[in-house]
Amino acid sequence: MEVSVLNRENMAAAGALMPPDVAENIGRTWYRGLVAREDGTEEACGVLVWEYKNVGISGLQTEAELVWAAGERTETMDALFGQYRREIASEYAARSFFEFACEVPGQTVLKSLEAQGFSLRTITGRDLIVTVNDLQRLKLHKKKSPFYVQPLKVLNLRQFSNGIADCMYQGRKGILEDLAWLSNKFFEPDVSACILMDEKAKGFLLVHKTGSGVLVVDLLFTMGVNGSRDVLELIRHSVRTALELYPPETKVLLRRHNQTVRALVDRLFPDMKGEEAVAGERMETADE
Amino acid sequence: MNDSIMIAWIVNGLAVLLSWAALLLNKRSVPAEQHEDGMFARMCLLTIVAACVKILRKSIYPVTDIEQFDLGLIAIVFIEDMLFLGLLMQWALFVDYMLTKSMDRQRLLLPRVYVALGVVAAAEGIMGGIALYLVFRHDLESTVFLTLWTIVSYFAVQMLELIFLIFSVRKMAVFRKRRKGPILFRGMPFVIPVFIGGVLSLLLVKYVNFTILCIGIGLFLLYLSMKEERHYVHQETGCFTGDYLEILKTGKRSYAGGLGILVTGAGDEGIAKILRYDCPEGMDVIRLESGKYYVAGERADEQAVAYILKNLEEDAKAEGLSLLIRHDLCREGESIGELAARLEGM
Repeated sequence: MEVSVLNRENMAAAGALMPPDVAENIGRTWYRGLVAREDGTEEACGVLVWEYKNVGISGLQTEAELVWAAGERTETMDALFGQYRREIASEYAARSFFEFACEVPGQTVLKSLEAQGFSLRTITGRDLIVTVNDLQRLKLHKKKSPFYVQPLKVLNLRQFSNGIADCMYQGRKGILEDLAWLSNKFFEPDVSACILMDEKAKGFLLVHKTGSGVLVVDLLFTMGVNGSRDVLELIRHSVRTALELYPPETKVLLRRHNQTVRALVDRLFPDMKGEEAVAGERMETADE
Repeated sequence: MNDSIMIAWIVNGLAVLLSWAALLLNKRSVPAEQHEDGMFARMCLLTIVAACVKILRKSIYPVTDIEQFDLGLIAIVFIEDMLFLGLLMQWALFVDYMLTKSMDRQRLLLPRVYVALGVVAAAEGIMGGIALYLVFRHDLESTVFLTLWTIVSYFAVQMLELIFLIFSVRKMAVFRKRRKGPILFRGMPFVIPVFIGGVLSLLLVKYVNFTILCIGIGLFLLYLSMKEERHYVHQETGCFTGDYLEILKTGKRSYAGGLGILVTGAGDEGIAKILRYDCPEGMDVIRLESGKYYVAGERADEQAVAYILKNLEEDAKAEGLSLLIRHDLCREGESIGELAARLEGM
């Protein structure tokens, strides 16, 4: 069994084992992956993808979140996890965790995770997937947004960078660990919105469209005493634009990654709870 | 309604229209520097107009006793108050602009001013209506009732104005989040004399209007406090002066954790422009000397610091400036002012 680092060059061989939404992230700053092949073959038989969290953030320990795991045989998964442990040890990750939609990981993967020391539990998933049609029920789109809420495309690169610097200085990155490395092209130019005042971006609602066409809300951040109202105006702008530009069946992924976002999403969609997911974690020790 | 009331009505009506027209003019999107001069000129002109209206009205229709209150007078006083309230709000907007230099914020505040004017106008209307009712229904005790009621209603309306002005002034603090308190405090002299002046003028019964005088005193006090602030702000670059660093050294102004960035290079105003644009909200830019700046902020993680520095370097390159940048976090027990000295020594 040969296990090698997954990168954009050898990604094609593992393409069948990964959905496009995972594959497109390979090569991003904190995304890492491993691919397993049977000796003497080119075709991949297992793949593991993870993302490092909190790298270089004082007061927080580096963690690794598994975002994808696939493999039909226990030996394959064991080989992948063995290499994974060595890789994350070199980055001083203190904890590994994951959250997969229940239907995603196969039984082999789940058994391997358990065998590798992950404590597994079934939870209500953090991701809430709604459709553009569902957004219509919010009734936000009926009122026009104020002049200072603009689509992301109106920002030049300097204004974008400046706004992102504000977000980062406030310690806000949404669900993007590599926000500092992403260009404005990563985000949808129309449905993403910003608060533009005095030629400076003072808030963002950033949306990324994945390879499969899902709209993922990556960051929602505003500054100033009118912050909560501006959040509403940003949402209003994005909802209006999404309703105009995307088919009603387009999926929108809202990741409830902290309590504030969870409260907001619960308020927007009180009758939607999210799918069941299987989650797990493992503390990593330096000596292993 | 006699002729003198009619004339007073017309004069006041015109003045109010002028005042509101000026408010609408503020909506125009013009370059900041033009806006600043134009706005100040408009404010001065309107104040003079308002004062003239007051004098003219008093010469046409002098009121020396509260018993002279009737429908026409209540209407005139109502319009006059609207005029002065409009002026007051405009001054609040102007001061806000001077502090923030934000055109967009002006446009943001304007709807609030309209709402404030509307609410106060409605309050005055209701109070005036009740006063009229008291006059017509309680002939014998009208003087006592009316006097008491007018004191109460004037007090209530002045309180409303006070609340709206505090609200406006408080909004001014947006541009520097951590200095809400002092700015609110500095705004108070602007507000309190108006309130006290109104009550005093009423208590004296004679319609000697203290409002203009009190606004003048308020503005003078505001000017004094702004003058003090100017001591700490370098006028050409808009950055803090080295005197501000002395405050930092004493620890009177602190930042969580403490991040300091020392920037040196040729091109004083160019560096200031870049720093003021690129440093996130909450970071203070201090001009130590020509071409030497110190940025003080709260502790941020490595990624954030690297990102801010990258933006600085890129913008400096685009402007053709060569910058030497040093940065560090405060050590245990070290103030942000002391960190500046350490970075200078490196």
